[in-house]
Amino acid sequence: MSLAITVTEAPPVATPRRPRRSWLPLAFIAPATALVIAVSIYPVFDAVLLSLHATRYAQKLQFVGLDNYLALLKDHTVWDDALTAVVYTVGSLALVIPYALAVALLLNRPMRFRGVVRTLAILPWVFSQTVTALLWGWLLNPEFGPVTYVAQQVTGGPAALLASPTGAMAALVGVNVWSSYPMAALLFLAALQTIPADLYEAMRMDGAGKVSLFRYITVPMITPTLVVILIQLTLLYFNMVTLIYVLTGGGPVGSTQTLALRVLKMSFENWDLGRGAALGLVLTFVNLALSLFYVRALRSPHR
Amino acid sequence: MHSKPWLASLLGAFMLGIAGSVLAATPLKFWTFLTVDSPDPRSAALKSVIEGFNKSQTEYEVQIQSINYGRIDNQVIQATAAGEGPDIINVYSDLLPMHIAAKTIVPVDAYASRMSAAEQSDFVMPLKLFQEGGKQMAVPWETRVWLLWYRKDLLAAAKLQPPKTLEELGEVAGKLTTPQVMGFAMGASTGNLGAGAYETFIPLLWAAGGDLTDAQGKATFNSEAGVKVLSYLHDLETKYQGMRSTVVSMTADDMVSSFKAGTAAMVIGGSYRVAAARVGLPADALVTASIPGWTAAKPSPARVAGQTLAIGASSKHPEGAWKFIQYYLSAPSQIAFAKAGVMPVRLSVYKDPFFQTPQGEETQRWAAYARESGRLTRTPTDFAKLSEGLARAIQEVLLKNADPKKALDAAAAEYNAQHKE
Amino acid sequence: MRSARRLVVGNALAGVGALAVIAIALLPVAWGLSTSLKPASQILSFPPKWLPDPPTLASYVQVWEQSNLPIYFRNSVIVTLAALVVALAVSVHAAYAMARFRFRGRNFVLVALLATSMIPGIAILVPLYDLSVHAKLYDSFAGLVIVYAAWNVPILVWLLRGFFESVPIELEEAARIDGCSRLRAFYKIVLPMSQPGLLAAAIMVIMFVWNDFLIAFALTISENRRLLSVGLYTYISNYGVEWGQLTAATMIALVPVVAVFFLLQRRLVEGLMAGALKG
Repeated sequence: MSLAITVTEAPPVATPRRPRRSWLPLAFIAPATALVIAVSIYPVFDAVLLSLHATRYAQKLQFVGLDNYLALLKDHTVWDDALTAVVYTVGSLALVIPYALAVALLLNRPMRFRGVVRTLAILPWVFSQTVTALLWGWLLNPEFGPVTYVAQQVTGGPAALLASPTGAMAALVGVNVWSSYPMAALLFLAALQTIPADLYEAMRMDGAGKVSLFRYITVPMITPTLVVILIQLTLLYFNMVTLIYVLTGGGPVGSTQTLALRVLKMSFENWDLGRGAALGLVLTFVNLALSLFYVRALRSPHR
Repeated sequence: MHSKPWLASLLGAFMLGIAGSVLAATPLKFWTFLTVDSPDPRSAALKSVIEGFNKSQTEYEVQIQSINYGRIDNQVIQATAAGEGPDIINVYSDLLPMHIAAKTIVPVDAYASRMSAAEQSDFVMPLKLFQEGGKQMAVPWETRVWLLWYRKDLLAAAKLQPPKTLEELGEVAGKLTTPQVMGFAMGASTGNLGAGAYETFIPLLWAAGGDLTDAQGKATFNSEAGVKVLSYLHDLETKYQGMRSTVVSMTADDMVSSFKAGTAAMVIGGSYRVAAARVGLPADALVTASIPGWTAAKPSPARVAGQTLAIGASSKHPEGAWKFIQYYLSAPSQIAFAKAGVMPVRLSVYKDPFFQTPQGEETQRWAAYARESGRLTRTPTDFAKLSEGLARAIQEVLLKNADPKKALDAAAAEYNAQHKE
Repeated sequence: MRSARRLVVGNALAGVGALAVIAIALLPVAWGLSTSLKPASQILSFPPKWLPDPPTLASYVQVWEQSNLPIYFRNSVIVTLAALVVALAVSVHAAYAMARFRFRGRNFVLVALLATSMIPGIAILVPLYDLSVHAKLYDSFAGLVIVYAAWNVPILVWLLRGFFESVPIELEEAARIDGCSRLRAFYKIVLPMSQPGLLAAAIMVIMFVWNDFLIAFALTISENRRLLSVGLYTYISNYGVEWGQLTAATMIALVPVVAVFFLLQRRLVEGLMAGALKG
């Protein structure tokens, strides 16, 4: 649900004809504002209140101040989950950026059936996290999955990816990359297509090789897009719940339990509503911090 | 003016409408983990019970909603807190304390007391076991016991005898294990509340003289007995080479799938799953036996549990709910379930001729095991946390070769730290 | 000469690359489709067989006739369409106001909208559950529609604002000189000219609602209100997953979004890429 978009300058506005009553703008934005306030802003305050109380199953009990937050800080499993979240995010980013860029470069090349290739390459975007997890889970099934079978042939031993902590994380990262590269590839493609061909021509005339072309033309021109993609994906990965919940459930041995998944389990499985709300707010705070970091990076003179 | 004709018809329609709504059966929402349309024989039995009830009277109509057993309790809590809970809830005996604490069910004393004294004592598991603070919170409708399941065909092919002690079990498992087949499997994942893990762990723990918790509710599964059991499970993997660490990602469901597919030769499984597991298997492939003990002298204690029925806290029709519960407990319903491989909970039912058939005799064997060596698990209200913690400890040992004592100590400490009662 | 060979090698590599990318993208669907068409006896086989022999629609029939999937499907259709209408209706007006009207606090509202989309859904799931209970909208379509619409408003407003701004202002002014009110100019001129943007917006909402899991998981409980993603997740019997049925159900769930995607993908990609550049 998180999203970050570049801020542009305000566009020209129709010359105001000094309207009799300026209720029209208000009427136009009122429904949107009301919806967003009711559904996104008010619940945050509710979450804050909840996080400051003790709870028992679905009931809110007495005010306990910051006890829930302190308990979270002292809980080493929460720190484990934070580390898992970082590993998951960084690992996915490290793989998805090169892959998406490679796909974009491929799609940027003139080729026969380019439209078809592009359509099929983007197909994973259409799949929900639930469907992705179910289909990949079946591919990776330790007893009957073809991926397991191939891995067994290759390594010679039993290879149940989802059964081992590192294997499960590797599988999860792989599935995540599969699920999220299309958007990034499209954004890269858009950026690539704005690079004028003559730039390349000019440098090629000067005898530059492919690598130099890439380094001195392509990379600088796509860097702003890269930053946008980085922040979008970072927030997406950090907050992701459904894919992990359905594919591994956080296991085995909690090795794939991220902070976001922990919030879900705390709230809807353990009925630790107070602590769940507190952790959720911590997550929100991290999101805001990351986004501010991004805005700073975008405003940098590098642009 | 001449409005009389249409006024009359309007009035008639109105009265029909009222009559219709009065005559229409009041819906009763029944939430359970069983389905009515799966190949499991219990589904057919449940279907016949529900249809039978709906046909036998016109005041109420039971509408079933099936929810996977790993999630039904959370859904019940979520819905009841929103005032939308069901009228009748199927509550698993191990989780009854949790439901009582979460206020999802209300006492049934007003109705249970209407049963005659003979009826009230006609239960394999005494009604008293399902009381809290002197109030009857639920009534059982089935009994279940955990057994050793083994693939007779696989053992026969390897010319092996079924094991009589746990050590023999290890040896037999080792001999049966190939790259495709595990001699013994358990569902050691933390999914579904870690149910697979504790179902195997507890009978062995009891046989070794230990228990999950003490009377005060503190975890005691890290006692010497617990360490002995966890070391044995580790030995199954390393010393006997009869089990692989891939079991840590198997739920109880996966374990049964594996047994059916022949990729696991022996498991500890519940009596309630036997009939469903036999579907599609060659006849005689699945044989049940008492769980071997540490010595040949006697088997491990039988872990006994049961499904119960309770009235939901947000129900507006407790009378109707109780009517359905009574129908569910009646002799014909119990026999229907018995034919589906379920152990009845009413003693009088065991006199039915069905129990002279081979399947009925097997059920009698189970009942005998339950009566002779049966024990109920004492479960705290946050049992889900305990069972998950235990499953994790087992996973640490099987997967990472952690020291059993350390793993169990850590799990017990973690549980005790957050346990509030 | 050298460059000609390099070109051929380059093209060959690109061809192989394209095939690899496509294979990876299609692998899970292919295996799922294959499983869904297999007779029951071939599903749990090891080593796995790639092709069903012979293919059969038995799993699909079972899913459609014996399970509740049709109900989940119907529910998803209803909620998706309703949320689409509400989200678009609300967002086009707000986006137009952002694009054309100058009023105090406009930038603040823009940034505030952006900020709310940074709140991770998981953090407010329980409060939303509480809110829906108090508003008596728990376990209802209306509750779902309201939340889905609200969650999509920020991105829709940003996306559509960009499109509205690209409609030449002269057109609107010409219409108003002819006597058109501001409102009518909006409906008669700006909206029709922004079809690509509206289409892209529509696809985004459809994908979001159809594929959602968390909201449906938290705000509904009864079978009659369950949506597809939650329905698929709960499609696990008590005795092990019936993979034939599960994959068939998954394929059925995929049909609408894949269809929408294939039919409109060019417009969608154009819209998204344009939106990406405009920011």
